Amino acid sequence: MAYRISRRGSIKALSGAIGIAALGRAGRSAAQSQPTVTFGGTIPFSGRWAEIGQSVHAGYQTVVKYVNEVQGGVEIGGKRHRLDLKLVDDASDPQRATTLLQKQIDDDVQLFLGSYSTPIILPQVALTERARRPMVQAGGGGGGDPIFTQGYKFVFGMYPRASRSAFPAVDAFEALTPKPKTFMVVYTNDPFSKPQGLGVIERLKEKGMQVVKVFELPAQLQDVSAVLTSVREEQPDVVMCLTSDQNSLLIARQMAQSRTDVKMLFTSLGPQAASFREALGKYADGITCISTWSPSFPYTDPIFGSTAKFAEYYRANNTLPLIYHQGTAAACIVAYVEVLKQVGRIDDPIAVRDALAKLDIESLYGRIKFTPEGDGDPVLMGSAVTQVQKGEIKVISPERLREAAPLWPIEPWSKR
Amino acid sequence: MARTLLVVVLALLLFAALATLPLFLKAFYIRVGLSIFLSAGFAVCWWLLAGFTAYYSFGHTAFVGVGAFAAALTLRAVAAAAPGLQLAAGLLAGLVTAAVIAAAIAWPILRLRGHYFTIAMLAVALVLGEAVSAFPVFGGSAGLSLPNIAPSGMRVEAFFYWLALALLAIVMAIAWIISRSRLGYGLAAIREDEDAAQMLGVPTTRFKVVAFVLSGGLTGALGAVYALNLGYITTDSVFRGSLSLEMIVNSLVGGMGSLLGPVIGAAIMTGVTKLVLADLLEYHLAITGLLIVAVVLVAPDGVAGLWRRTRR
Repeated sequence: MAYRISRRGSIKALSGAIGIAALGRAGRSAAQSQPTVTFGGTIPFSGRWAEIGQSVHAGYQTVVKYVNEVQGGVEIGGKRHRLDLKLVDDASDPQRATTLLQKQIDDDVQLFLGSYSTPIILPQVALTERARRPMVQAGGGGGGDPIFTQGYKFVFGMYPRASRSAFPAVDAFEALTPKPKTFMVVYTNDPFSKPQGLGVIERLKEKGMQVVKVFELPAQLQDVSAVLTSVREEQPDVVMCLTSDQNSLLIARQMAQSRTDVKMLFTSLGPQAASFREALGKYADGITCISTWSPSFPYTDPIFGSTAKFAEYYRANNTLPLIYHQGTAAACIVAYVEVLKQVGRIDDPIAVRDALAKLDIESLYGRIKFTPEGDGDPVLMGSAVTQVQKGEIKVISPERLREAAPLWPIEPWSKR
Repeated sequence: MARTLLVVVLALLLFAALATLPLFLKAFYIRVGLSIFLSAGFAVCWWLLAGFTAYYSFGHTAFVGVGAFAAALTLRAVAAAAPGLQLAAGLLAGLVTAAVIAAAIAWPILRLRGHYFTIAMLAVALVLGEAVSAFPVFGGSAGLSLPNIAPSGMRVEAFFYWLALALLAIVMAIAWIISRSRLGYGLAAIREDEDAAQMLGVPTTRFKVVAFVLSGGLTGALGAVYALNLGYITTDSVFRGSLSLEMIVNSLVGGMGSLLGPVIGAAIMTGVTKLVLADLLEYHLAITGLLIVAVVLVAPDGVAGLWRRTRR
């Protein structure tokens, strides 16, 4: 039997869908009778950043669910409060993101969580700043520099700004014995790698180490043989590549194939992923990278007790794999909760902002202490430095998280 | 003549009424208005080419991006100038650069028709986006910040609301004048049958180039406003393929048959997605999709077409 879709039928179906959605919203609001702390903001639930947006959302939701369902809320100013997320989809579109955030500001939402990627967050920060409401964000393109260099006072980020995000690696190399002397820096021309590379160069110079050559390459690499020729000529002790997973894989492969030996190879992204280590096999050993967060880190947390317990609760309630985005996002809510407990009220965003600026706690994410500009402290909140050892990723720095001594210098490619 | 005068007077009254709204509305509704005007402006620019000639561009985001980056780079060069001059320089840079690029690619690309033109424009947008990313002089990959050029003491969203409204009025006026000119009739002839139009003496290539350059240049000027309003742009944010799609969907939903179609479409789509469905985190895309399907089924000529049909 053939069915025809009539015009009236289509309109009925559409009205029904909108009606069901509206009822859902009404039901949700009726369920809340306790005083509520509402966190507003937008999130890229669709569009280019959807995958990361969903991970960030899962991190936010896990803490809210735990506080409400397991702890029965949070005590603020002598009253128990529920936590509520009022997040809407910005569809990875900055224009939509600012418009929808403006609605929440007009609706008197006091506390904001961040979206993802600098082009979305930066226009939003201009609005929250004007409204004098704090925003704690879990990722502006990995802590994009412009968010924290324009004098904004109400925005805080869990990551160090991009240009400082690889500082822990420089510091870890400085601590090696014998100390490496010469460095070559390679970065790609994209919003994250470029400031990261420029920051590394500054840090190396600050530490008195010699940068023998710098390469700025296109965002998508096809061939790095010219760079490797230069590596063979200059013979730096360490090659630091601030590159994406795919670019890092290409560089490491071509280095191994051309037997271009260095005492240490660092690629900011790549070795963290098992697929990268499998693709390189024995040639992955010795490559260092930075790992923002891992559920195995031994931190204590004021809400969950520890990182491990957060991970356990997360996995029991979510299907998305637990990666650093969830940990960072969860830490945003942990920071807010701790600050609200100190402030003792939920209707004073300026007091919350001031308390966030002074916050210094250990959480499931690690230490939370912001710089005066609002980004994560590059040393206290910086990444761990990890190295591939026998196919496994091992923390070699900082000391507290260390799982293995660094392999230094790494074995020449021909002896593997 | 009297009817033309009536249309002009009504349009002026409508725009004047819209211009007073920021004096009463909350910031969010002003921003919704701003979004509608920008979306409507982009859609009318796209329609200037597609509606008149049936050359459907899937890469008009190229002109948004070019206009945005031209404005951002120009504003850096004239950073010491007064905000009013900066604004004029930025808008002019967006308009002229996008128009020049449109003129440069017009001759080869307008030799293509149908799907070939559509895909070629998609490629143009990708190539220009990659170029802006690849060459550090443009700063596309790392992003560019733009200064706040709103006069001090004026609400930023209201300033951009008025700017976008003024540009929309200009774009609509140009489109309306074209529709009543020899150029407009020639373009309509191209849309109906390009070969026949050529045989009848319509200078098809010249007319298509004019429409293409106008469409591209005006999109570039709106791209400059789009960038100024955001304050920070990267290649990803202004060479987004979804911007091209929005222009097309707004025109289709509103109706391709008249100048008001893209404006109605932009108002409906922006209103529905930002006012009605904005709070629905998981379902808004599905419902928006249903809405588009419903419009296609109920009103294949768009909302303006449906209105015309019901009046008959």
